[in-house]
Amino acid sequence: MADKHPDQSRITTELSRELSLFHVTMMGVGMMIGAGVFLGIGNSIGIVGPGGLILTFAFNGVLAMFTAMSYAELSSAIPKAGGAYNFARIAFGRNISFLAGWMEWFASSVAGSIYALTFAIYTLHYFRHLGLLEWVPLPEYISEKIVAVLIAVVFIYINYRGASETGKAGAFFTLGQTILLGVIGLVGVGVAIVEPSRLTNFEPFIPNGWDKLLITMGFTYVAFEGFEVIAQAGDETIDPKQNIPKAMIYSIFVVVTTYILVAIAAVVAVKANAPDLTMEPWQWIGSFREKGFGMAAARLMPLGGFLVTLAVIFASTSALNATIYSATRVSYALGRDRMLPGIFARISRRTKTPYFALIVTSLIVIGVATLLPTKDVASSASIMFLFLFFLVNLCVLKIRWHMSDELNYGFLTPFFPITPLTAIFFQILLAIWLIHMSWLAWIVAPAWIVSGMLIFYLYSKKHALATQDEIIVLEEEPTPIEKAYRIMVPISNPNNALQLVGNTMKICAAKDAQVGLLHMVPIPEQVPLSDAEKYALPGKEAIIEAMLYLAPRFPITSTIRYCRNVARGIVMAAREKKIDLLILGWYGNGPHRRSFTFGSTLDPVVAKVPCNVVIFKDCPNQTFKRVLVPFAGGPNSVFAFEVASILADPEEGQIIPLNVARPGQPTTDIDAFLDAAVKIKQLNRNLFKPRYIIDKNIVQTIIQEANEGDYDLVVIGASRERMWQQMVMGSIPEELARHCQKPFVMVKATEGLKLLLKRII
Amino acid sequence: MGTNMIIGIILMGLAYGFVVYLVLWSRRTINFIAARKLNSAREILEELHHGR
Repeated sequence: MADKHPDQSRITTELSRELSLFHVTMMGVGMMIGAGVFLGIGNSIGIVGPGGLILTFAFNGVLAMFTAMSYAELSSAIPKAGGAYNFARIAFGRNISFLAGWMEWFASSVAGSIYALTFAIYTLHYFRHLGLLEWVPLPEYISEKIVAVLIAVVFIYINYRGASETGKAGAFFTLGQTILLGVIGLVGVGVAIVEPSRLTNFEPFIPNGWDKLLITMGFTYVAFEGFEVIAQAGDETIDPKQNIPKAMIYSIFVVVTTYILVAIAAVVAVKANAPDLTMEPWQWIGSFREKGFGMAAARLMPLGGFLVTLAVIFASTSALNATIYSATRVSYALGRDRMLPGIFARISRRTKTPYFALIVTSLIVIGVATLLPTKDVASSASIMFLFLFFLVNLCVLKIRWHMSDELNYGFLTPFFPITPLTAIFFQILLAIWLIHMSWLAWIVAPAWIVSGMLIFYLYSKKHALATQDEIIVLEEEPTPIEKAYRIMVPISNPNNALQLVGNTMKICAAKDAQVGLLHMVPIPEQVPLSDAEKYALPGKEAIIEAMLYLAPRFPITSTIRYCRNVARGIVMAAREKKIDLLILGWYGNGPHRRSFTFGSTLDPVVAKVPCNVVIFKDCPNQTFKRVLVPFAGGPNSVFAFEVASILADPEEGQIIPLNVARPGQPTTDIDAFLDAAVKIKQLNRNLFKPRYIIDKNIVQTIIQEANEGDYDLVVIGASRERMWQQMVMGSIPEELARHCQKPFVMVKATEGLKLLLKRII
Repeated sequence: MGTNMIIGIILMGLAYGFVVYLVLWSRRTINFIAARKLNSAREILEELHHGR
């Protein structure tokens, strides 16, 4: 056997990068312009009328573009075979990602079966029309099944030959069908220009009411599912960071334009006053249901029926090619990560294709095409595609919010998070609508999901490989006593552990808290996770030092974990352990890049962790006599007062709340704000000696006051502006953090709805 | 021309126009990110606000 298991050999094989932007764009277009548009036009126009038909494709185009942009963002950052399966694994972990891959595999395979059958039905119908099949003794039903299997086998072989052949074959067929449909659409527009009277076919524009649009949008939405196949091609595409997102966006544009053109052509194709027409043109087209488009095209131009048949043949074959490709790649990815047996990941050295995954996918495609009723299974596939798109939009939200600093993006979704949230809302709506289409689909789909869950718990959970993105607990020591208030202190090395712990102790005493010490062990990408133990030694020393100091006084837990990214590891640990306060130490001189305030590790932690945060910079373990607290109001300022009163000397300490306002601007009523803060946090009001300063340059005044005044500590609440506002305008706390020469503390309060959202998402 | 048709044509124009806008914006953004060799979302957002 020439092929080797990837883990059993030092010489591994990988997929070849041979697909260009044109190839992957055409693969996406090919998967979208399958049977959906041909079946959709006739059925939809009867429900929603001529104008509603055009709006159906236009609105679906916008929705599809939103999901395509989510796919584009994720695929540019994670360009590996697996598509939604990979995104879900990184965003939500193994179980959800297995389900994503499992359903995607099924949905794509069944879609392949439908395209094979569509090819068979239209081809045989055309040959029968020409009188070429009179000699065939077999019933029509059997003939269609045989032809469906034959065409499936042809494209299975093309897929086996390798990515280049797959891409080139797909691109050829897709180009053909798109040109044909484009010609039909342009002829329709030309006819409308030459004979403006045909535009009266658009009256009544939307005869059965606007609400019917939702029905037809749901019915035709599957005609826009094609970007998954582009995501699958990440391992084989030249320059995937640029070409994958471009291909997704371009394919949607090509498809939306084509659909709108052919829909216009279908509406204007039929003369309203034709002698054999006893009803409105839109009703006449709708009466033929799935054949409506073909019947309309036959009246539009000479050879119209022939061209539509030809387009259907091109469309179904290219979609068949793309779906076999997509289904094979997702099962390959499941095998690669041992979610399915490793044999699924075996790659042929000769053709560089995952041959076993292709064999099993082929069996599903052929089995479904020959044995199962296609309409209900197709609806099940639609539900699963909608679920996949829903999941991908959730993934883009979660990954952007939690991992955006550690990924290399080639594209970012605009209007984030409005676009993915809008797509999610409509995908739920359309999936629910499919209940009206096929009740059996709502049995088949859950049955497939349940079977997938069984496989996951019986096989995948035990065998799945740890990926680079997972965080593993190396050692964990539980606390002897549980307290209501939980503080976590990430510790990096023994040299600064005690300084941080000394200040932590004061806060622990004030809050009657338990302390969790955490050391994250970052493992470089090149090092296998099995060698992580070697990197844990400095962290162990730091934790032991801190424990010796804290253990006699407070309940302590300690944890050592290894991860690929420290920031994400800290955020995950804080979320998992339901931490109330995270205490961080900042020992650097500032970040090298202007986009960071404290650095590439601390900034994401401060932004994303679902609890209050206190950052100590150069703070010795001592009591502080004069503490400056620049403030401008808000929860962060209240929290800053609380932390300042904890750190200040209770006997001789003074806290100086400082408010700087520009000349002519209203000043904050410090006394009223202080009284409220003191009442909320039950602080000692006598410690506070407030000050006002009027100056046009607020930032410089505060920095000057902090550095030149008689203070031994500066405490400030974090900026509340959004990230882009800070980047554009800068912020006072972050500027002070950079330039303050005194011991410095920055605090951030996370409470109310913001805290709830951070904990959930 | 009825009210529904006027509203429908406007909506269709807006929807298709929005798709075209998103395609052009996306293409420009992808080229911009590649040309400046940007990586993280933070860097890209910052450059998008400063750089164009």
